[in-house]
Amino acid sequence: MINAYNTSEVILYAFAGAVLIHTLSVLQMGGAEAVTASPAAYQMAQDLVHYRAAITGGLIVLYTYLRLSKRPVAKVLAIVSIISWIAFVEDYLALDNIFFVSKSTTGLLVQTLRPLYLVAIVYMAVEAYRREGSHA
Amino acid sequence: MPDHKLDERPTLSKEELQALLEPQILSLSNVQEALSGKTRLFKVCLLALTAMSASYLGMYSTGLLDSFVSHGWTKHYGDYRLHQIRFGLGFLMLVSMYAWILLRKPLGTLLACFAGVLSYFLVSGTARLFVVLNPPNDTWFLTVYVLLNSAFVALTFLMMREERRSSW
Repeated sequence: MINAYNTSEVILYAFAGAVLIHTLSVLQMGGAEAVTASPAAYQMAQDLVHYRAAITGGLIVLYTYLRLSKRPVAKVLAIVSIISWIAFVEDYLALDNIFFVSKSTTGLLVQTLRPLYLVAIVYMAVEAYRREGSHA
Repeated sequence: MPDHKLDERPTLSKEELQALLEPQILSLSNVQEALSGKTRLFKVCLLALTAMSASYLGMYSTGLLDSFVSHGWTKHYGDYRLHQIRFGLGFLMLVSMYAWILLRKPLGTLLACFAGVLSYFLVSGTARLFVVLNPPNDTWFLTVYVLLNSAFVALTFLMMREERRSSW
């Protein structure tokens, strides 16, 4: 059955997939130096991209494991959503969107999916709390 | 049912009725009252966390930390903005934790989120310093940085454990 939660889940995995493909394509292009607007910012972008991708990716893998083993997922979703929002604020206010690559299709895809993902992850966390609360 | 039994039915006083009708979100209690249901270790952790956060934020506000954070080493504007955002978030986390305690709301999820955010700060901050500094020469600084930030994460995890043992 298609419902809002499942749709949000599709958006989450689509975004995670786009980030993974974009990270790999950036590495193929020669690292963040090739894609950032400011040369001074490239190292910063490189560090943040890798560690942030590792933390968020690890949490999404944990979510998938909990979901498949039918365990409570609300807390993990809350943590993923808060880190995602903080990462977004950092990119927007501090890094001036230095990850944006106008020529790269994968970069464009990540930027397009990001707002949808941010809304979807918050919705999923709220919905999971509601479901788990009513089951308890 | 006999009439006299109905007359003896307990009725709510005006104060009790007012207390029941009062929205839960607005029922603030004082700190001592709010912490009375928590374990001793929870209170110790809270005190340590508050003291550490307050001194960290105070030192940042006075500019004492400027030469030690990555902005001090790189002079890059992005680093400076990142610190501003992260210290702002630190302050917000401290305030929201106290608000949640005073409102007597369950702290489990809030503390789990804080632990996640602090771990993210620790990992990304250390990674950044590894690039900015020269690790073989600045081992002491990196060690202090990692220990200090790990202490925040460890205290948050301890509080999460103690929260489960507390009566509210």
